[in-house]
Amino acid sequence: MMEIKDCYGCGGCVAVCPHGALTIDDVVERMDEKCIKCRICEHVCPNGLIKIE
Amino acid sequence: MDEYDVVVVGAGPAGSTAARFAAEKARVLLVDKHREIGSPKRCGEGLTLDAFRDLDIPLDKRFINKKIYGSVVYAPGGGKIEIRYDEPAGYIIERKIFDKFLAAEASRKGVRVLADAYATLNTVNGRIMGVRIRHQGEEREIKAKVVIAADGVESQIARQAGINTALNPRDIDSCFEYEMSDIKIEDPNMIHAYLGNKIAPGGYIWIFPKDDDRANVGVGVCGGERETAKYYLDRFIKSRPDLRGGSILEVNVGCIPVGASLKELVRDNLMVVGDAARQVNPVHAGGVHNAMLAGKLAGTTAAETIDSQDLGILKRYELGWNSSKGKQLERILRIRYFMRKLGDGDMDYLTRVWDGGDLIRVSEGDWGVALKKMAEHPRLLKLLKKFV
Repeated sequence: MMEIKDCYGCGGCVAVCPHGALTIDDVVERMDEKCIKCRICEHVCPNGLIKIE
Repeated sequence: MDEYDVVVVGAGPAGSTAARFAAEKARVLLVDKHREIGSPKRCGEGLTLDAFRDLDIPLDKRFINKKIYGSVVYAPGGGKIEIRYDEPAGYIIERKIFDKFLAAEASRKGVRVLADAYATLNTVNGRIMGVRIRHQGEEREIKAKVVIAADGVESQIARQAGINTALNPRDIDSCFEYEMSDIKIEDPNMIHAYLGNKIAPGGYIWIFPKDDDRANVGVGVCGGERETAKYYLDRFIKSRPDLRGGSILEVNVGCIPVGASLKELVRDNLMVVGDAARQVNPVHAGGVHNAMLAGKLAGTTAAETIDSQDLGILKRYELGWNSSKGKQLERILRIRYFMRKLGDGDMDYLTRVWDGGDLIRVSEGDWGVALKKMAEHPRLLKLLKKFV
Protein backbone atom coordinates (compact mmCIF):
# COMPACT_ATOMS: atom_id res chain seq x y z
CA MET A 1 0.00 0.00 0.00
CA MET A 2 1.10 3.53 -0.65
CA GLU A 3 -0.12 6.19 1.64
CA ILE A 4 0.43 9.85 0.81
CA LYS A 5 -1.17 12.25 3.20
CA ASP A 6 -1.47 15.92 2.30
CA CYS A 7 0.57 15.66 -0.91
CA TYR A 8 1.73 19.07 -2.17
CA GLY A 9 1.96 17.77 -5.72
CA CYS A 10 5.59 18.74 -6.37
CA GLY A 11 6.23 15.69 -8.56
CA GLY A 12 9.69 14.79 -7.24
CA CYS A 13 8.66 11.20 -6.57
CA VAL A 14 7.30 10.89 -10.10
CA ALA A 15 10.63 12.12 -11.48
CA VAL A 16 12.68 9.47 -9.69
CA CYS A 17 10.35 6.47 -10.05
CA PRO A 18 12.32 4.08 -12.30
CA HIS A 19 9.21 2.14 -13.23
CA GLY A 20 6.84 4.91 -14.18
CA ALA A 21 4.49 3.70 -11.45
CA LEU A 22 3.54 7.18 -10.26
CA THR A 23 1.35 9.71 -11.99
CA ILE A 24 0.40 13.19 -10.98
CA ASP A 25 -2.39 15.59 -11.71
CA ASP A 26 -2.87 17.65 -8.57
CA VAL A 27 -1.58 14.95 -6.25
CA VAL A 28 0.38 11.76 -6.78
CA GLU A 29 -1.28 8.47 -7.56
CA ARG A 30 0.29 5.05 -7.83
CA MET A 31 -0.33 2.32 -10.36
CA ASP A 32 0.00 -0.68 -8.10
CA GLU A 33 0.82 -3.15 -10.84
CA LYS A 34 3.97 -1.23 -11.81
CA CYS A 35 5.30 -0.52 -8.30
CA ILE A 36 8.04 -2.88 -7.13
CA LYS A 37 8.34 -1.18 -3.71
CA CYS A 38 11.91 0.04 -4.31
CA ARG A 39 11.00 2.99 -2.08
CA ILE A 40 13.12 5.50 -3.98
CA CYS A 41 10.13 7.85 -3.93
CA GLU A 42 10.18 7.94 -0.13
CA HIS A 43 13.67 9.41 -0.17
CA VAL A 44 12.97 12.50 -2.23
CA CYS A 45 9.66 13.69 -0.78
CA PRO A 46 10.59 17.05 0.79
CA ASN A 47 7.88 16.58 3.36
CA GLY A 48 8.46 12.89 4.09
CA LEU A 49 4.85 12.15 3.22
CA ILE A 50 5.28 8.88 1.32
CA LYS A 51 5.20 5.60 3.15
CA ILE A 52 5.40 2.39 1.13
CA GLU A 53 4.46 -0.76 2.97
CA MET B 1 -11.26 18.61 -32.96
CA ASP B 2 -8.95 21.60 -32.56
CA GLU B 3 -5.88 21.83 -34.72
CA TYR B 4 -2.63 23.71 -34.16
CA ASP B 5 0.88 23.65 -35.54
CA VAL B 6 2.45 23.51 -32.08
CA VAL B 7 1.03 22.62 -28.69
CA VAL B 8 3.09 23.43 -25.61
CA VAL B 9 2.34 21.60 -22.36
CA GLY B 10 3.18 23.63 -19.27
CA ALA B 11 3.15 27.41 -18.95
CA GLY B 12 6.23 27.95 -16.81
CA PRO B 13 9.16 30.06 -18.08
CA ALA B 14 10.26 27.34 -20.55
CA GLY B 15 6.81 26.70 -22.00
CA SER B 16 5.68 30.32 -22.31
CA THR B 17 8.99 31.30 -23.92
CA ALA B 18 8.84 28.38 -26.36
CA ALA B 19 5.27 29.30 -27.24
CA ARG B 20 6.12 32.98 -27.73
CA PHE B 21 8.93 32.22 -30.19
CA ALA B 22 7.09 29.44 -32.00
CA ALA B 23 4.19 31.84 -32.61
CA GLU B 24 6.32 33.91 -34.95
CA LYS B 25 5.50 31.45 -37.68
CA ALA B 26 3.11 28.89 -36.22
CA ARG B 27 -0.36 28.58 -34.72
CA VAL B 28 0.35 27.72 -31.10
CA LEU B 29 -1.67 26.45 -28.14
CA LEU B 30 -0.17 26.69 -24.63
CA VAL B 31 -1.87 24.64 -21.90
CA ASP B 32 -1.23 24.40 -18.17
CA LYS B 33 -2.76 21.95 -15.75
CA HIS B 34 -2.98 24.45 -12.93
CA ARG B 35 -6.00 26.63 -12.43
CA GLU B 36 -3.70 29.61 -12.16
CA ILE B 37 -0.56 30.01 -14.24
CA GLY B 38 2.40 30.66 -11.93
CA SER B 39 0.83 29.01 -8.92
CA PRO B 40 1.83 27.09 -6.88
CA LYS B 41 5.32 28.42 -7.37
CA ARG B 42 8.30 26.22 -6.55
CA CYS B 43 11.22 28.58 -6.58
CA GLY B 44 13.57 30.77 -4.61
CA GLU B 45 12.69 33.49 -7.15
CA GLY B 46 16.20 34.80 -7.79
CA LEU B 47 16.95 35.79 -11.39
CA THR B 48 20.13 37.41 -12.70
CA LEU B 49 20.16 40.57 -14.77
CA ASP B 50 21.60 38.52 -17.65
CA ALA B 51 18.41 36.49 -17.82
CA PHE B 52 16.35 39.64 -18.41
CA ARG B 53 18.82 40.81 -21.06
CA ASP B 54 19.12 37.47 -22.86
CA LEU B 55 15.37 37.08 -23.16
CA ASP B 56 14.55 40.75 -23.69
CA ILE B 57 12.28 40.89 -20.64
CA PRO B 58 11.60 44.34 -19.19
CA LEU B 59 12.61 45.12 -15.60
CA ASP B 60 8.97 45.59 -14.73
CA LYS B 61 8.28 46.59 -11.15
CA ARG B 62 5.09 44.52 -11.17
CA PHE B 63 7.15 41.35 -10.75
CA ILE B 64 10.35 42.68 -9.20
CA ASN B 65 10.38 42.54 -5.41
CA LYS B 66 13.94 43.51 -4.69
CA LYS B 67 17.16 44.51 -6.39
CA ILE B 68 20.08 42.30 -5.40
CA TYR B 69 23.67 43.53 -5.37
CA GLY B 70 25.46 40.25 -4.76
CA SER B 71 25.67 37.15 -2.64
CA VAL B 72 27.20 35.89 0.58
CA VAL B 73 28.06 32.21 0.93
CA TYR B 74 28.60 30.93 4.48
CA ALA B 75 30.71 27.89 5.32
CA PRO B 76 29.74 25.91 8.43
CA GLY B 77 32.77 27.02 10.47
CA GLY B 78 31.94 30.70 10.16
CA GLY B 79 33.99 31.51 7.04
CA LYS B 80 32.24 33.30 4.22
CA ILE B 81 32.72 34.47 0.68
CA GLU B 82 31.09 37.68 -0.43
CA ILE B 83 30.67 39.09 -3.88
CA ARG B 84 29.20 42.55 -4.14
CA TYR B 85 28.53 44.72 -7.18
CA ASP B 86 27.92 48.46 -7.45
CA GLU B 87 24.88 47.94 -9.64
CA PRO B 88 22.07 45.38 -9.21
CA ALA B 89 23.25 41.98 -10.48
CA GLY B 90 19.91 40.29 -10.12
CA TYR B 91 16.42 40.49 -8.77
CA ILE B 92 14.11 38.59 -6.47
CA ILE B 93 10.99 38.33 -8.56
CA GLU B 94 7.39 37.34 -7.87
CA ARG B 95 7.06 34.16 -9.91
CA LYS B 96 3.27 34.15 -9.82
CA ILE B 97 3.21 37.51 -11.59
CA PHE B 98 6.28 36.82 -13.73
CA ASP B 99 4.95 33.53 -15.10
CA LYS B 100 1.59 35.09 -15.86
CA PHE B 101 3.35 37.99 -17.57
CA LEU B 102 5.29 35.57 -19.81
CA ALA B 103 2.09 33.71 -20.71
CA ALA B 104 0.34 37.01 -21.45
CA GLU B 105 3.27 38.09 -23.62
CA ALA B 106 2.93 34.82 -25.54
CA SER B 107 -0.78 35.45 -25.99
CA ARG B 108 -0.01 38.89 -27.41
CA LYS B 109 2.12 37.19 -30.04
CA GLY B 110 -0.85 35.11 -31.07
CA VAL B 111 -0.52 32.09 -28.77
CA ARG B 112 -3.80 30.69 -27.47
CA VAL B 113 -3.34 30.08 -23.73
CA LEU B 114 -5.51 27.76 -21.65
CA ALA B 115 -5.18 27.18 -17.91
CA ASP B 116 -6.82 24.35 -15.97
CA ALA B 117 -6.08 22.02 -18.87
CA TYR B 118 -4.47 18.69 -18.00
CA ALA B 119 -2.75 17.16 -21.02
CA THR B 120 -1.73 13.66 -22.00
CA LEU B 121 0.10 12.72 -25.17
CA ASN B 122 -2.06 11.38 -27.97
CA THR B 123 -0.30 8.71 -30.00
CA VAL B 124 -1.79 6.57 -32.76
CA ASN B 125 0.27 3.53 -33.83
CA GLY B 126 3.33 5.07 -32.21
CA ARG B 127 2.90 8.40 -33.98
CA ILE B 128 2.46 11.52 -31.90
CA MET B 129 -0.72 13.17 -33.12
CA GLY B 130 -1.02 15.85 -30.47
CA VAL B 131 -2.51 15.82 -26.99
CA ARG B 132 -5.75 15.13 -25.22
CA ILE B 133 -6.70 17.75 -22.69
CA ARG B 134 -9.16 17.74 -19.83
CA HIS B 135 -10.43 21.24 -19.28
CA GLN B 136 -13.01 21.79 -16.56
CA GLY B 137 -14.32 18.27 -16.79
CA GLU B 138 -14.45 18.20 -20.58
CA GLU B 139 -12.14 16.01 -22.66
CA ARG B 140 -10.83 17.38 -25.93
CA GLU B 141 -8.46 16.19 -28.59
CA ILE B 142 -5.90 18.67 -29.88
CA LYS B 143 -4.15 17.83 -33.11
CA ALA B 144 -0.65 19.28 -33.49
CA LYS B 145 2.34 18.83 -35.78
CA VAL B 146 4.76 19.46 -32.93
CA VAL B 147 4.36 18.90 -29.19
CA ILE B 148 6.64 20.73 -26.75
CA ALA B 149 6.86 19.15 -23.28
CA ALA B 150 7.48 21.86 -20.72
CA ASP B 151 5.67 20.04 -17.95
CA GLY B 152 8.24 20.31 -15.21
CA VAL B 153 10.34 17.91 -13.19
CA GLU B 154 7.81 15.07 -13.37
CA SER B 155 7.66 15.35 -17.16
CA GLN B 156 4.92 12.92 -18.00
CA ILE B 157 4.58 13.97 -21.62
CA ALA B 158 8.20 13.02 -22.43
CA ARG B 159 7.69 9.69 -20.67
CA GLN B 160 4.55 9.05 -22.64
CA ALA B 161 6.60 9.56 -25.79
CA GLY B 162 8.96 6.82 -24.60
CA ILE B 163 11.86 9.01 -23.46
CA ASN B 164 13.31 7.67 -20.23
CA THR B 165 13.33 10.67 -17.95
CA ALA B 166 13.67 8.81 -14.62
CA LEU B 167 16.24 10.51 -12.42
CA ASN B 168 18.70 9.05 -9.98
CA PRO B 169 17.64 10.35 -6.53
CA ARG B 170 21.12 11.82 -5.98
CA ASP B 171 20.50 13.95 -9.06
CA ILE B 172 17.50 15.59 -7.48
CA ASP B 173 17.37 18.37 -4.91
CA SER B 174 14.53 17.93 -2.49
CA CYS B 175 13.38 21.41 -1.45
CA PHE B 176 11.27 23.08 1.18
CA GLU B 177 10.75 26.82 1.48
CA TYR B 178 8.87 29.36 3.54
CA GLU B 179 8.19 32.92 2.57
CA MET B 180 8.75 34.59 5.92
CA SER B 181 7.98 38.10 7.09
CA ASP B 182 8.91 40.10 10.16
CA ILE B 183 12.41 38.62 10.17
CA LYS B 184 15.77 40.27 10.57
CA ILE B 185 17.94 40.08 7.45
CA GLU B 186 21.55 41.04 7.96
CA ASP B 187 21.89 42.59 4.52
CA PRO B 188 18.65 42.57 2.51
CA ASN B 189 20.45 43.78 -0.63
CA MET B 190 22.28 40.46 -0.87
CA ILE B 191 21.23 36.84 -1.23
CA HIS B 192 22.55 34.53 1.46
CA ALA B 193 23.51 30.85 1.11
CA TYR B 194 24.51 28.56 3.98
CA LEU B 195 26.55 25.44 3.31
CA GLY B 196 27.33 22.49 5.54
CA ASN B 197 26.86 18.76 5.74
CA LYS B 198 24.82 19.10 8.90
CA ILE B 199 22.96 22.22 7.75
CA ALA B 200 21.93 21.02 4.29
CA PRO B 201 23.65 17.84 3.08
CA GLY B 202 24.42 18.05 -0.64
CA GLY B 203 22.72 21.41 -0.98
CA TYR B 204 22.31 24.70 0.82
CA ILE B 205 19.95 26.89 2.75
CA TRP B 206 19.02 30.16 1.11
CA ILE B 207 17.68 33.49 2.27
CA PHE B 208 16.48 35.48 -0.74
CA PRO B 209 15.09 38.85 0.42
CA LYS B 210 11.82 40.04 -1.11
CA ASP B 211 11.77 43.10 1.13
CA ASP B 212 13.89 44.45 3.99
CA ASP B 213 12.15 42.17 6.50
CA ARG B 214 10.66 39.49 4.23
CA ALA B 215 12.38 36.66 2.37
CA ASN B 216 12.18 33.25 0.81
CA VAL B 217 13.89 31.04 3.33
CA GLY B 218 14.43 27.60 1.88
CA VAL B 219 16.54 24.50 1.67
CA GLY B 220 17.57 22.05 -1.00
CA VAL B 221 19.09 18.74 0.05
CA CYS B 222 20.33 15.91 -2.08
CA GLY B 223 17.67 13.25 -2.59
CA GLY B 224 18.23 10.17 -0.49
CA GLU B 225 19.35 11.94 2.69
CA ARG B 226 18.32 10.58 6.07
CA GLU B 227 16.02 13.41 6.99
CA THR B 228 13.51 15.35 4.93
CA ALA B 229 14.13 18.81 3.47
CA LYS B 230 11.53 20.18 5.88
CA TYR B 231 13.49 18.77 8.82
CA TYR B 232 16.68 20.63 7.84
CA LEU B 233 14.88 23.91 7.22
CA ASP B 234 12.88 23.87 10.46
CA ARG B 235 16.00 23.05 12.43
CA PHE B 236 17.95 25.91 10.83
CA ILE B 237 15.17 28.41 11.53
CA LYS B 238 14.86 27.28 15.13
CA SER B 239 18.60 27.82 15.61
CA ARG B 240 18.44 31.41 14.37
CA PRO B 241 17.12 34.21 16.58
CA ASP B 242 16.83 36.45 13.51
CA LEU B 243 14.38 34.03 11.87
CA ARG B 244 12.56 32.00 14.45
CA GLY B 245 10.06 34.67 15.51
CA GLY B 246 9.00 35.34 11.91
CA SER B 247 5.64 34.74 10.30
CA ILE B 248 5.04 32.25 7.50
CA LEU B 249 3.26 33.72 4.49
CA GLU B 250 3.72 30.79 2.14
CA VAL B 251 4.88 27.17 2.16
CA ASN B 252 6.56 25.86 -0.99
CA VAL B 253 7.59 22.31 -1.71
CA GLY B 254 9.45 21.08 -4.75
CA CYS B 255 12.13 18.96 -6.31
CA ILE B 256 14.80 20.21 -8.72
CA PRO B 257 16.38 17.98 -11.38
CA VAL B 258 20.07 18.82 -11.00
CA GLY B 259 21.58 15.94 -12.98
CA ALA B 260 22.43 18.00 -16.12
CA SER B 261 20.41 18.02 -19.32
CA LEU B 262 18.54 15.11 -20.76
CA LYS B 263 20.45 14.01 -23.88
CA GLU B 264 17.43 13.16 -25.95
CA LEU B 265 15.65 16.48 -26.25
CA VAL B 266 13.78 15.64 -29.46
CA ARG B 267 12.03 12.45 -30.46
CA ASP B 268 10.05 12.47 -33.70
CA ASN B 269 7.81 15.53 -33.40
CA LEU B 270 8.23 16.00 -29.62
CA MET B 271 10.60 18.47 -27.98
CA VAL B 272 11.45 18.66 -24.26
CA VAL B 273 12.39 21.91 -22.49
CA GLY B 274 13.02 23.32 -19.01
CA ASP B 275 12.89 21.21 -15.85
CA ALA B 276 11.34 18.42 -17.93
CA ALA B 277 14.68 18.31 -19.76
CA ARG B 278 16.63 18.99 -16.51
CA GLN B 279 18.15 22.16 -17.90
CA VAL B 280 19.20 23.27 -14.43
CA ASN B 281 22.53 24.41 -13.01
CA PRO B 282 23.63 21.40 -10.92
CA VAL B 283 25.53 23.52 -8.41
CA HIS B 284 23.18 26.35 -7.48
CA ALA B 285 20.06 24.64 -8.86
CA GLY B 286 18.80 27.73 -10.67
CA GLY B 287 16.73 26.82 -13.70
CA VAL B 288 14.60 29.73 -14.91
CA HIS B 289 17.28 31.40 -17.05
CA ASN B 290 18.25 28.12 -18.77
CA ALA B 291 14.60 27.16 -19.18
CA MET B 292 13.90 30.37 -21.07
CA LEU B 293 17.03 30.01 -23.24
CA ALA B 294 15.98 26.46 -24.12
CA GLY B 295 12.39 27.61 -24.71
CA LYS B 296 13.61 30.26 -27.12
CA LEU B 297 15.77 27.79 -29.03
CA ALA B 298 13.05 25.13 -29.13
CA GLY B 299 10.30 27.59 -30.06
CA THR B 300 12.35 29.18 -32.85
CA THR B 301 13.27 25.76 -34.22
CA ALA B 302 9.64 24.61 -34.12
CA ALA B 303 8.62 27.73 -36.03
CA GLU B 304 11.20 27.02 -38.77
CA THR B 305 9.95 23.48 -39.02
CA ILE B 306 6.40 24.59 -39.65
CA ASP B 307 7.61 27.11 -42.18
CA SER B 308 9.64 24.59 -44.16
CA GLN B 309 7.37 21.55 -43.60
CA ASP B 310 10.47 19.54 -42.60
CA LEU B 311 10.19 17.91 -39.17
CA GLY B 312 13.83 16.83 -39.35
CA ILE B 313 14.80 20.40 -38.52
CA LEU B 314 13.55 19.85 -34.94
CA LYS B 315 16.78 18.00 -34.12
CA ARG B 316 18.64 21.28 -34.52
CA TYR B 317 17.34 22.24 -31.09
CA GLU B 318 18.88 19.12 -29.53
CA LEU B 319 22.19 19.57 -31.37
CA GLY B 320 22.31 23.26 -30.56
CA TRP B 321 21.66 22.76 -26.86
CA ASN B 322 23.87 19.71 -26.39
CA SER B 323 26.85 21.35 -28.07
CA SER B 324 26.71 24.54 -26.00
CA LYS B 325 24.70 24.94 -22.79
CA GLY B 326 24.29 21.19 -22.34
CA LYS B 327 28.05 20.74 -22.36
CA GLN B 328 28.48 23.43 -19.76
CA LEU B 329 25.90 21.79 -17.50
CA GLU B 330 27.80 18.49 -17.79
CA ARG B 331 30.93 20.24 -16.51
CA ILE B 332 28.99 21.79 -13.66
CA LEU B 333 27.51 18.41 -12.75
CA ARG B 334 31.02 17.11 -12.08
CA ILE B 335 31.57 20.05 -9.76
CA ARG B 336 28.38 19.09 -7.94
CA TYR B 337 29.76 15.58 -7.42
CA PHE B 338 33.04 17.05 -6.16
CA MET B 339 31.20 19.32 -3.74
CA ARG B 340 29.14 16.41 -2.42
CA LYS B 341 32.40 14.92 -1.14
CA LEU B 342 33.58 18.00 0.73
CA GLY B 343 33.75 17.88 4.48
CA ASP B 344 32.72 20.90 6.55
CA GLY B 345 36.40 21.70 7.11
CA ASP B 346 37.05 21.66 3.36
CA MET B 347 34.29 24.20 2.82
CA ASP B 348 35.84 26.47 5.42
CA TYR B 349 39.22 26.07 3.74
CA LEU B 350 37.77 27.09 0.38
CA THR B 351 36.19 30.22 1.86
CA ARG B 352 39.67 31.19 3.00
CA VAL B 353 41.44 30.71 -0.34
CA TRP B 354 38.70 31.64 -2.82
CA ASP B 355 37.12 35.00 -3.45
CA GLY B 356 33.68 35.72 -4.83
CA GLY B 357 34.86 35.72 -8.43
CA ASP B 358 36.36 32.24 -8.05
CA LEU B 359 33.13 30.91 -6.61
CA ILE B 360 31.00 32.35 -9.39
CA ARG B 361 33.33 31.02 -12.09
CA VAL B 362 33.42 27.56 -10.52
CA SER B 363 29.61 27.44 -10.31
CA GLU B 364 29.55 28.19 -14.04
CA GLY B 365 31.95 25.33 -14.74
CA ASP B 366 35.18 27.32 -15.09
CA TRP B 367 37.97 26.37 -12.68
CA GLY B 368 40.60 28.84 -13.87
CA VAL B 369 42.51 30.45 -11.03
CA ALA B 370 40.31 28.83 -8.38
CA LEU B 371 42.27 25.64 -8.99
CA LYS B 372 45.65 27.27 -8.41
CA LYS B 373 44.45 28.63 -5.12
CA MET B 374 43.81 25.07 -3.90
CA ALA B 375 47.44 24.10 -4.52
CA GLU B 376 48.25 23.85 -0.83
CA HIS B 377 45.55 21.30 -0.27
CA PRO B 378 46.68 18.13 -2.09
CA ARG B 379 43.80 16.02 -0.80
CA LEU B 380 41.21 18.35 -2.32
CA LEU B 381 43.14 18.48 -5.59
CA LYS B 382 43.23 14.69 -5.68
CA LEU B 383 39.52 14.54 -5.00
CA LEU B 384 38.93 17.08 -7.70
CA LYS B 385 40.86 15.04 -10.27
CA LYS B 386 38.36 12.21 -9.78
CA PHE B 387 35.52 14.38 -10.97
CA VAL B 388 36.87 17.12 -13.21
